[in-house]
Amino acid sequence: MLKKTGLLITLIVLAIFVALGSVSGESLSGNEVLNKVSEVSEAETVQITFEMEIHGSRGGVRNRELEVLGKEGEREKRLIRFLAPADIAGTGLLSIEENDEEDMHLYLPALDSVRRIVSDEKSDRFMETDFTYNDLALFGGGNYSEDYQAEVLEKTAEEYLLEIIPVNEDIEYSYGEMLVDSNDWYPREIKFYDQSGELYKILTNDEIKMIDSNLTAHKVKMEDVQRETKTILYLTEVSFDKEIEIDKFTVRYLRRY
Amino acid sequence: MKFRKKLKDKLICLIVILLLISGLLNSVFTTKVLAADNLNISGSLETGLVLETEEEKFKDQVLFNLVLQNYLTLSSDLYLDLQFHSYRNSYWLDNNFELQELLQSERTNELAIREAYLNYYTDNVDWRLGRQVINWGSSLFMSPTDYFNARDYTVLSPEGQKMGVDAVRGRYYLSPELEVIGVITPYFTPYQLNPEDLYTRIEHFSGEAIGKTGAKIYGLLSENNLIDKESGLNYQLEVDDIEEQLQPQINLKDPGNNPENLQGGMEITARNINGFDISFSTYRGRDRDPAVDKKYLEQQIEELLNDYGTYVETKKQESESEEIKDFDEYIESENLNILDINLLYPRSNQIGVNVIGSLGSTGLWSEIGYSFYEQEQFDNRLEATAGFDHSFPAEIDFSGEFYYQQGRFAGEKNTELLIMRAERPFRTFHEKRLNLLYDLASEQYLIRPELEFSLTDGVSVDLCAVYVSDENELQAIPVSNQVSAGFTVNF
Repeated sequence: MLKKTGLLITLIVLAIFVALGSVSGESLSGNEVLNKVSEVSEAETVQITFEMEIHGSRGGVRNRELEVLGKEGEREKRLIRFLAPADIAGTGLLSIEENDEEDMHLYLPALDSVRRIVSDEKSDRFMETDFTYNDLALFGGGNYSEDYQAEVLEKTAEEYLLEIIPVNEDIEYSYGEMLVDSNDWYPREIKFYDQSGELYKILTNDEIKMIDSNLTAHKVKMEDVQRETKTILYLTEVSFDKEIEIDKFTVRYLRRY
Repeated sequence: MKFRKKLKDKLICLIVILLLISGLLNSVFTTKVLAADNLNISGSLETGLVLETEEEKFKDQVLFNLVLQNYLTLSSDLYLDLQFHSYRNSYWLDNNFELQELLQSERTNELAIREAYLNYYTDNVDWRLGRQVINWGSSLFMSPTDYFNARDYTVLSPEGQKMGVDAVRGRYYLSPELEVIGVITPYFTPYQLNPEDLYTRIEHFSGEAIGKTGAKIYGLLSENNLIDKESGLNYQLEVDDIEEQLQPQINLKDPGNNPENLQGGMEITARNINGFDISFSTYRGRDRDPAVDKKYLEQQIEELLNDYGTYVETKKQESESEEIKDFDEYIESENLNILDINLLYPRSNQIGVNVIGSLGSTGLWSEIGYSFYEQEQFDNRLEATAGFDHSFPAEIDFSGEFYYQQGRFAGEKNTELLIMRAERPFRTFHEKRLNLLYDLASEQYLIRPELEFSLTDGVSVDLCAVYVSDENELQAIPVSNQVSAGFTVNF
């Protein structure tokens, strides 16, 4: 009896190993990889503070400091606020997305005025940076699998190279190439191409660390190869799944600085 | 040539001094906002120099703002913006580059509290009490429903600077997408204008009024048979003759700080209605733009005609018809040729609506305001804007707006403006802009190219030129051809 039980356990364990082996060896589709990328961070809320360096084409550098709040749910909410320098401190962007419809409002403290961002502006550079409003939406809980569809271009033992094609018509890129580490499913590099098919921007995620069970890049670089400029974000503070009052994602709070 | 060289030397000196000030400020404050627990200290220093090219006249200014913000509790904070403004208007420099003694060449130094208020947040209402700038309306350039704040045009900027008003403002949030704002201001604050600009700005009001007055007098003289061969009067008398004889004495009536100048307004805003934000507003108070007191002007005309009629009758009764003076000779000889042109800020009730949203990839907005005047002498008027903005390839942002404003009486022209702006960044941090203003009524235009160079974080230099197609006829925004340079440090 004991022998039979031992054999059964051995078979089950073997079956599990075989099954696991077949999964790890199995090729995933592009969209499955993209889903895994999106699942890397499943935090309900995120609160990040960045220091930002904007490098000009002729070598000048401008510095910014900004805070990002994000909350997942039926309505995805993000609030991005500049903390420094003084001339733009307080400038904030509120984004609420529901059923693929994104509603964005910009607050300019100098005018004490909240202005709706029209859809075309979402693909504009955000406050002199190399990030567009849409790029920034990916911080604070944004989801690649909602905005892109993917196909596998190459697969190695360590990495997937995906072609990602935007399904959100507000995104200005024609397509991208995303390099994903298959050990942790975190994207290391994304090359974005413009509507003419020319290489436009390269996003690089570095210094990836586990914070509160969420993988997080502590250095994010967006390089505009056509303009020869780059913007580097250095993560200074981050917290996941901490309670953020729902009131913070309102035009009322956007004004309060 | 000598003048230009000295001008160049002076400009270089000015730039060096400004750079030194910038360095000093940077070393003292750093370029970041100072934070001491609950107190934020920030501010800006702006300097500007304008050369009016036709007359080689200068204007300059130094504008320093120190902003203190103290977070008292989670539900309240204090904000204070102290402003020092030093400026000199319209002065000439002689060949030795010395100031000439000319009109308005004295420097004005003003220290003022631009804004000082308390924010207090309750569950559903945000209160703001004190001197504050209130921004209503969604239009980019001209905003018919932006009722409360007058502008200070002594500040060297094409749009002037919005002046704070003493007010109580409550913003009630019915839901995240529906809010109601109520504002009460106890005093009326009119535009702040240079004496020279004041004359330029109101010249067309008085010119129109006198023109109409001349026509009216001429018509009445004819109606009363005061212009005919039999009476011995000069029947060749023309409207222009009367106009030339009348000398306007322009008086701007300050409404003063009294309870009848209490102003109030309410706005309800609904956000995200099919991708549009819509606001309805109402306002009771005074117009920002002064208007000619037509009633008072007509009283003067009536008195003038009565006097002249009496004079003519007397002469006729005395059988001295051949000695009767022409109307223009009469008013000159009796020193009656000075007409008081009183300008006042009419009281009105206004309603407005503004809408902003997008259609495809183009941003759209429109604002409509309608004024009901309490004084019968003024016609109700419509003021409206409609505009769009669109981003083109190569990072060119283009925006355009049409602005329409009806006149408030027969002598005041309608204003129809087309305003356009194209802007594009260059070398990452710098910006170039081209502004165009076209006055549809006079077919005159203004072009203003502008370059803004960012030197480092919070430090920028602005170079600008203004070309006006005809300096005398562009009345909507009376400016002259000029070049200007500005330097700004934010800390």
